Amino acid sequence: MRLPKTRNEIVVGIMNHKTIRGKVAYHSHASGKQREFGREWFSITTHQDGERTLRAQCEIERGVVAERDVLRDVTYTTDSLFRPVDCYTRIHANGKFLGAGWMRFRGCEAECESLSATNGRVSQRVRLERPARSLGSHPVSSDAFHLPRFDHRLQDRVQYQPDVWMTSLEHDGCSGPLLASLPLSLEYCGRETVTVGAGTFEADHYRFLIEVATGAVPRQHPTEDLWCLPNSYIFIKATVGGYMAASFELVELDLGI
Amino acid sequence: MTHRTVRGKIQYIYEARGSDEEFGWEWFSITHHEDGQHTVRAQCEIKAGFVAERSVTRDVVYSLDRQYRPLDCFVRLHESGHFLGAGWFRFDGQCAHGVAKSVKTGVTTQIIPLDNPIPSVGAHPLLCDMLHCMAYDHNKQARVQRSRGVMMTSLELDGCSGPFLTPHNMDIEYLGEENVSVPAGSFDAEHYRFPGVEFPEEEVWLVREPLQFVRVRVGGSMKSRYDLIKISNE
Repeated sequence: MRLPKTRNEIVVGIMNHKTIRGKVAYHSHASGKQREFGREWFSITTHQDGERTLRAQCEIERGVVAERDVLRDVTYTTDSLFRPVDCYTRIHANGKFLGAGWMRFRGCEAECESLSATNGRVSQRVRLERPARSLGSHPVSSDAFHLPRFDHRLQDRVQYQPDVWMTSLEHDGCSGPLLASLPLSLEYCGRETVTVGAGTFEADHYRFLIEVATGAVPRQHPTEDLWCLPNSYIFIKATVGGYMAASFELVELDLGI
Repeated sequence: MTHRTVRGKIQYIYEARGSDEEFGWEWFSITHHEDGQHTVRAQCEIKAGFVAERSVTRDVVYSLDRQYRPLDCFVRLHESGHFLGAGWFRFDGQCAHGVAKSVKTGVTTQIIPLDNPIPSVGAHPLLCDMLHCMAYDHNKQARVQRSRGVMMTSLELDGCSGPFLTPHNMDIEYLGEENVSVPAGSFDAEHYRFPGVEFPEEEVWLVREPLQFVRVRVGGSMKSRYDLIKISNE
């Protein structure tokens, strides 16, 4: 180990990263009455070098998205432009280990090393047509990290995204983990004042138009609306229609100030 | 859903200069899954100028089987605000497998044949130090027990290298039960010691059932303590 310099030679105690922490509650009224069916604890560290690390622990109870309980750990890092760098995922389905894996992105190559109860040990290498711009790792707090793809300099209110990379194509993310891509469109709906359990925020409203996908997903994903803080893309709220009839709301937020 | 999760925070306090100086924190959670697996998540921050002249931020997600034997461990490190390395390590009884990338060594893959299942992983969160003690067999007479082939993800005191697997032997001594008071409360804890040979001497206080971190003390040039300051059960 290198010996420490004297205190006068170094800047003692300075750390320039910033971490926010939050909790999201999942609710659904698909059965006719409001029910909390899941929750997500997340934190996002913006490092001095511009990388962002999002950590999330998600719990989904059976009966809304699918007939299974899901527990998921995700540690997802992006570069300063929110493009994926790497992502670790670990999943339990119905209380039993399902799979774990680590995905890495570099230029026009993506790699995945995973171990799952379904597929065994898998090494995956994917040659990309263009560098990946986002990764769907399934925490709703990370859904907002798709949205820097939307180019506000363009006139188009709806923008087609041909290659959104995912760790699973299941709506609850309960498979793999294995790299797969999905086409979708993003719509920008404007800036709105949104009140959730964690407070009232001026947020940008986007819509994921996943129904334009061409059969890549096992089941049609209902349209998802998502509100996030401008520029930082911190998740505030999402709604998913159709069979899920679900809302996902930020109920706790610690900005680390 | 019948899993159980505990969340908490540990404060790092440097004592080597004669007064208490806060030099880091660790936010952690432990989930005890229905199938008996345990998942430990830790986010650690160490300020520059105490253990070394660099600051460290570290993410670890470490899973263990029912008997607290390692299954897999993900580590991601930033040194002084810049990405240093990340890796995923798996342990299947026959081999330890590692795949990592680092700014210093590029992409590395490791396969280490094992004579015996490894007892624990030293991934450097204080929670991992506690988990070394779960390999201690209280049914044996020996008060000092050797843990052979502990897999360290870094041999630096602050864990700021690699990550890369290195086998390491360590002794664990059981010192009995003690009541210990930390900011999160007063606990009837089990007290263990890792005699200092390659690393400074370290003492660990924990509650075994239900598992809970209480305190760590490190001696020598790194004289410091690590106290549980927040705990919540869900």
